[in-house]
Amino acid sequence: MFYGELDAKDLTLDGRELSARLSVPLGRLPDETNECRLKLADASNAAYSAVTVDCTADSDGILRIGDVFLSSSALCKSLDGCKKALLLTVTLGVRSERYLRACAASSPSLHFITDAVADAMVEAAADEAEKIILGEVKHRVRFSPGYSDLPLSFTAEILRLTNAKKLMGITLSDTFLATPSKTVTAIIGLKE
Amino acid sequence: MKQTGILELLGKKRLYFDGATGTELQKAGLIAGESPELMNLRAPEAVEALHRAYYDAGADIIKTNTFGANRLKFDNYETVVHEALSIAKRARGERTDKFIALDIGPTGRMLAPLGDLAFEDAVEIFAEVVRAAEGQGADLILIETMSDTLEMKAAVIAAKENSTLPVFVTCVYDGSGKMLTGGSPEVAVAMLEGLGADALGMNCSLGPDKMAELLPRLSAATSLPIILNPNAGLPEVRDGKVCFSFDKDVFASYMRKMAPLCAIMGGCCGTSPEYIKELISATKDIKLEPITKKTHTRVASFAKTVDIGERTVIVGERINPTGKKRLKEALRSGDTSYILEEAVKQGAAGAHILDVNVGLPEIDERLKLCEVVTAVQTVSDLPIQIDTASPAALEAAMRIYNGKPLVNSVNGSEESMNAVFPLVKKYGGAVIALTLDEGGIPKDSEGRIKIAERIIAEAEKYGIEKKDIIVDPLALAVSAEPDSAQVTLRTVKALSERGIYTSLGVSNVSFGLPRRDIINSAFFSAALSAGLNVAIINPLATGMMNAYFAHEALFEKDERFNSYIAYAASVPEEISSEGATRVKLNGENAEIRTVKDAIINGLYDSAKALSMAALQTLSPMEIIEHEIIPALGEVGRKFERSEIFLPALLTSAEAALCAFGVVREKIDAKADPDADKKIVLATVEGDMHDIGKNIVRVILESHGYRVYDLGRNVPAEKIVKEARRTGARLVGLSALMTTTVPAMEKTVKLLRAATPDVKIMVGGAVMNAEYAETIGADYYACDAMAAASLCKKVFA
Repeated sequence: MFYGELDAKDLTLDGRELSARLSVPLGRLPDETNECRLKLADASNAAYSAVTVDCTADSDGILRIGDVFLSSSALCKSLDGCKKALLLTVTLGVRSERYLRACAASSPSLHFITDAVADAMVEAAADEAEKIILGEVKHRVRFSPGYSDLPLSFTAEILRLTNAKKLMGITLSDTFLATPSKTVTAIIGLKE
Repeated sequence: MKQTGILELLGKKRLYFDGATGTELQKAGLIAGESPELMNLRAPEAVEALHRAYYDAGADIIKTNTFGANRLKFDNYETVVHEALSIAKRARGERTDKFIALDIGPTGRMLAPLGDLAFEDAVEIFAEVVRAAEGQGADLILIETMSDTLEMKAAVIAAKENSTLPVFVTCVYDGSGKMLTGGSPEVAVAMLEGLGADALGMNCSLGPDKMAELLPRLSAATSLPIILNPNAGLPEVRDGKVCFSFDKDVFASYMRKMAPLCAIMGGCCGTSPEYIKELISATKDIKLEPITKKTHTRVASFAKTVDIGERTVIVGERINPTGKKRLKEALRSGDTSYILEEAVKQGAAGAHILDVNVGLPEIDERLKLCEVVTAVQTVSDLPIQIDTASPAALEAAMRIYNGKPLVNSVNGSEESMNAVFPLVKKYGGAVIALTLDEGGIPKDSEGRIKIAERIIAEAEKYGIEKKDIIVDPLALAVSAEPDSAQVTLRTVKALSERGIYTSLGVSNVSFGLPRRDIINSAFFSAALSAGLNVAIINPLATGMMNAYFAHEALFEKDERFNSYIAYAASVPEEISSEGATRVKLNGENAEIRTVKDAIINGLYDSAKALSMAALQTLSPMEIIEHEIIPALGEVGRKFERSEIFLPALLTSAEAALCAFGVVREKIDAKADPDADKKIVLATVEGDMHDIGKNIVRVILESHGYRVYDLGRNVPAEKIVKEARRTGARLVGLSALMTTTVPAMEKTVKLLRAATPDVKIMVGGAVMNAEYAETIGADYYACDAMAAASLCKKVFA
């Protein structure tokens, strides 16, 4: 089991990701972007929790991830050859959720920019958590519920197995929306 | 129920809690994945042995093995609680100097609105545990490991409403001194002292080294005994096992340094009977410093405290329907977004506290007040002044408020004091006391002071201290009573000299006179000079904030004029004699002369200022037709040519909205050609995404449409109701997830049945034109500009 807190101010955001989310060409970020990033970072209590589980696939393509059985050909492919996987939950935290709601009440443009920055920031937090946990361990790319045919419902299992509710206060709605909304759940196949 | 002797010992000698339970039970045979609480049933002798080991090590208080024992985790929680207390009593045996704490941990769920557990459900879950323990031998209740102030409040209320046992509370802080949901030690103290906790402190998450950094803050804030139950340092993995970084000697050495300030010490994760023994050995001879009574007057939100005293505190008055047509409409229609905008704007303008008043005869004030207080707390971390004349509404709001509120108000009548003071005593709060009673408002200062003193004396009978009473000597309309301003100011001064804090609803003074802003700011300056502590004003009124910051600067309350300088830099540019505003564009100084240019460049303040100036020579419709609409046209063309992008489109739209806001006030409602261009917007039920919908809203509003935005996660029935109520001709629905598209389909069906003439427009990442047609929508809009074009067609 892994758990750690991250300083959101130290996260490096991917310029391409940020531009895409802001619907602007690369290099044409709005002037307010950095200020939004700093205020959001200040408001965040970013953290991660993760757990290593066994993973197997049977001849019918049914995956067993820890104590969960599921069917996903895309995930099967991603985990091909891996006997273990890392289940990861990363969040910008409950305080970031309040801040985003305040932005929404304040100004649509501020909300839009800050929300886009938050999306890029949580991905950066997930990158950082991967680095901290996995170090030099060879692994596959992060695969999240909702990608391809991996069902959104798998989010609930990742949150359960990583103890995300207790450690980071993350809850899930009936429609599989996490609160705080800037939360990433993923499975990463481990090659070693 | 009998009170225990533990309260008699508190503060006289240091008491000791036990240490960890979970980690120790693991050594005693707790199976991996098994809940420790179930060992009460499966292996009670192991639990009893652990309790006895802690008592033998010298602990005065052991915690029952009931940390997670509630109905959410255990159907048989009552049995678990009963067994836990039986075990604890057996372990204590005949030792009358030992105590048993009923241990209550968090529910494991996040409370609404951030999570899905309703506040009253949480109260009931905790209450069930307290009731299950009734008469079973606990000497006190320990509410521990609280990481959310709202859940903490629910637990304390449950304890207080169901038991007369002392209540101790410890919270979890991270290294920066914040709880998971943002609470600080100062916030927790303000809330817990108001709720009547008997002792408070910290446990878990941090080792004693990190808790030592937070202890001075706790000590400076509280008048209650302090509890410290740290972890044995940080968890580490050694040889595949989780261990903690501090051994018992290191742990004890850190605790020794903190001992003078701690009335109760113990341990949490990683500690053991050996740790407790060493802790006691290292600290038993250290003198416990007497607790100093704190005299600050403090209110709190879930994340911020505001002290009333040295510097005048501004209470933003704009969330009050009196004289505010737009707010009345928002309250009636459930347009929370408008109310939340007012909350955020006031905070940005410098308000320290927000007044929330929703009193309208045609709405359920109790429900609405709770709804608005909760909603405001989702966007603002400022403390709230709960403002209502209804005791039922006041109680409901004080109960669910996440913090220690300012209560507006009580007065000198028996009825008022009998209604309000019990609530303040139960839930905590500072309270505004109006100097009127059954005989009305005294004409002179002396009469008002007499009432104030009587209110303070009566409050003390309830255990409410003078420092938590803030007297409002009432600002009356000078147009009706010419000497009233002077009487009020004399009273403020006299109360101040008596060490009594004062507040005023400042703008009442100008009622009935033209250019009220002029009178208000002059009266405000005078009141500040008389010693006013709490000013209920409109923080968006530049004249008032000018008076405030100037006063602070002139009367040496603003060190190095830092606040004044920052404020002066933020005041929007006035129009120059050449009719321009001076701004920074792309890093260069520039002059903006027209509303059109201000909108094109996304300059809100300039758009507003230039609109106001333009009204002197142009009619509102001329400004809309010759400045705003052409500006939006040019912005739209630039966007289509990819010369600007979505962020700039949005800032221009917001600038247009600012201009519209100024101009619209001058338009006669009957003559407003856009009056019937009404659109209802919502993100459908189950979907919490609203960025796209918000962009659509601001674009449509900037084009002059009247948008009723119901927010996100909106049930179909509510959308139908709003469409009917407003007479909207178009409803826009947004959904971003495949799992919420069925809700969109349901909404379309209901609208077709109930409002067949209403057109339906849908959008969102999962939508397309084909699917829109399948579910029966009239239109699909791929983005905000497409939505604007569609609206032009619909309303042509």
